[in-house]
Amino acid sequence: MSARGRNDGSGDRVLRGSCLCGGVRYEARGTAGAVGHCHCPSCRKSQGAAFATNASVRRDDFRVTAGEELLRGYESSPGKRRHFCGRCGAKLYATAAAAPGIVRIRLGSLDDDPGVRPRAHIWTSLRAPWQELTGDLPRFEKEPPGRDEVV
Amino acid sequence: MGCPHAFAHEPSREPPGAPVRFRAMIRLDSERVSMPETVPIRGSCHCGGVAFEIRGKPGPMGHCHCTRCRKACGGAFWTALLVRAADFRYVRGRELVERYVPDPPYRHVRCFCRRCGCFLGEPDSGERFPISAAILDDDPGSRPQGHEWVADGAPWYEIEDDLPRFERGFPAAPAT
Repeated sequence: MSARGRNDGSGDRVLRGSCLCGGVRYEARGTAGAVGHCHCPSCRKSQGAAFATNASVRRDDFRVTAGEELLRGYESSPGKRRHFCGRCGAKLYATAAAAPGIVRIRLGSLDDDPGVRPRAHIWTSLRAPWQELTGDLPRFEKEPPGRDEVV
Repeated sequence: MGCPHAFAHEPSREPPGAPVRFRAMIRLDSERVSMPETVPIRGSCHCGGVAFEIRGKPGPMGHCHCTRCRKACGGAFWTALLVRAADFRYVRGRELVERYVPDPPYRHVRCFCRRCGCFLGEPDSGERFPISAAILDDDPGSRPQGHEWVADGAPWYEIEDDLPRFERGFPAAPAT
């Protein structure tokens, strides 16, 4: 069962994530930041998903609890590394030199409910030709103003 | 391969289903869009190391919400395009393709680029197999037919379209 985070005894919520083979596990304390769906080709290519749904957590609140030796990273642009399990390929998180205090978790890797919900679709002008957008979430053709607050 | 904790730890299961993934979608093959068979549909990974092409008309497309597919791509669901093995070929980078063979009871062999991690799908797993629609460089013409395994869907994601939804796998194709 998916739990809405876990209490670690100190009152902090703990979100757990893991890869497909279970070799890599991570934990994030605190509350995930704003979440959105990004349709840009880079996000789609990096994951193999119709769009990427990621959430920010503070790097100080994030730690890999198992399988660090299995992790591989791909530097998709200078300073930005997308981390995945080298054994099963599961997408886990990304880090960027430009935002050293942040880890961007791939929500598909979470075992717990982060509580937060996606707020918007972004870069919809670049979405896959077969991906229709029909819901009520706000849509941004490109990068939304004040992205950190939006997604 | 695989971790002994994987089955116990992960709350969900992988679709047991038939030997062929998305097999029910095969019945939709007859509805495939008209496209000149000489124009290949190209696909490639994030780093560009792996590239492939699909000749002939591609099969149908569907969204899978099972936990395993979500972990493979890291997203809200995985969108697969069914292709015939005879229509699929690597153009380059086959040596970069890593195959993850899971421990039982899981069966689906998932492939990814070992350099960039891009989830390619399940190439070379039978006469028809699903590949990641999101990494295609051309419009395959096919459109998603529905959502499967929605009972295992992410608690943080709400399906936004009106496509058919199935608690478990797509319903079996009628016997022919």
